[in-house]
Amino acid sequence: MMRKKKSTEEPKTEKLLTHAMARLDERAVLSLVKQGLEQGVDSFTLIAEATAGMTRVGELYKSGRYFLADLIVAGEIFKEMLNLVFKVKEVAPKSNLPPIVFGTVEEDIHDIGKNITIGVLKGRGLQVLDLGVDVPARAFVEAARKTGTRIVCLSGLITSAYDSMRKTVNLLEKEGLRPGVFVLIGGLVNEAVRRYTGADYWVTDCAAGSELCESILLGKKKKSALSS
Amino acid sequence: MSTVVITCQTIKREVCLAISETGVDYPLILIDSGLHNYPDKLREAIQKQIDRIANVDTILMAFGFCGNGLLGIKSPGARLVIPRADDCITLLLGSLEARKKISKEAGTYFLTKGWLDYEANLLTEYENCVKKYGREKALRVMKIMLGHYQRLMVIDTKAYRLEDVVKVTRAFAETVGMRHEEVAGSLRLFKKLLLGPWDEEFIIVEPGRELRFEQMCLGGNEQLAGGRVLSGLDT
Repeated sequence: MMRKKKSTEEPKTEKLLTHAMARLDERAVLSLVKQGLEQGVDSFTLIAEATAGMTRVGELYKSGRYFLADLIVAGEIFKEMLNLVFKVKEVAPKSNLPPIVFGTVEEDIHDIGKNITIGVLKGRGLQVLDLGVDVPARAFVEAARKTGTRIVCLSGLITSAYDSMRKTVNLLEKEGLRPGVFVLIGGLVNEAVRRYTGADYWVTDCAAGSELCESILLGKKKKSALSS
Repeated sequence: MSTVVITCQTIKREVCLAISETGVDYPLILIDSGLHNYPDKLREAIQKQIDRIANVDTILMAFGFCGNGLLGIKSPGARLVIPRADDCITLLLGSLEARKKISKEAGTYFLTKGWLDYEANLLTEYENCVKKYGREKALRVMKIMLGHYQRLMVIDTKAYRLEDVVKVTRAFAETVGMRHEEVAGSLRLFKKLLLGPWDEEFIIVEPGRELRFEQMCLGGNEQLAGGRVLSGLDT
């Protein structure tokens, strides 16, 4: 059971929530979150613990112990958990910054990783504009201009996606938006893909990606400091 | 001049048929299937195999790029010839254009007998899901997984009995509410790999050189944006 302000018991319960999330136990996750909310545990603490569970899910998938279906189930439980938290508590956005622009690039329709990451970003109190799948470079640029975003996240799983990512980065550059925008790529990517596309960062893990976005928005990452 | 072919279990039927139809007598080396979701492991398995080959001039790589699984491969003594194909679906359809055309019509999930027999695929995901979560939840999960796919398409490569596969895939498509179609495959790229000419549809990596990412990309001649080198985040 959760007890507010009893430090000896909170960590134990928090670990339970992480554990329940990691083993995809929907009933346990929702029940622990309900208890936590009733007892006044901070919403972001609950979400952070569930996010730690999501990180574990990602590790289990990478090691081959979880299947793609398990990732989807994890994403759905996480979404349910967020709905529960947001219904009970008004979670104020962490800042008044414009939303993160997010989408699966042109010619690609894979969006499981994108959707899970967006859930985790929202759990961190960050605003996201989801452009969907098969998004042309021009649509990313227009959204970036309209919102004044500082982060554009490009997701893709197939080889053709790399060229769409590069095209998008080039168009941001051409339209003069690139200096003010961090571009993150995610999916089946690595350092070679990042160099090819001209993005700033590459991520293959939803939780780490959302942490990076938050660091950028909180000003912990400076563009000038990154250039070599 | 000695030549060997390396391919993976998943497309071995098609490669064998192409070998038989072209009449070449190159030895064929098989890499285990199931690694395309783990590009680093696939690269390691392929490189290990290449390293075991000696006294050969040319290694024909019957692979697509498989999610960067071929990135960085090299042979000290042989040249590598690699089709410029994003993955093996493009190889099985005969061209990237054919694949793009089909995918543009509707979100399409492709299958062959090789994919059914050797790879984690939609059907195995569904079976695992039913075992773990029950039929009702499994169907909900599949609906999310297939969000943007409308069609399940079996590629008829003539390297296996189509009826055997279609029996299974049609039933599955019905279960998950997808359209089921068949499309004629092509051995064109496999045969061209075996016989040449190795024109712009192929990459030739000379002995001692590595396959670089820029060689693998299919796009135009745009310059790299900005040219900045920034730190990536390995997660």
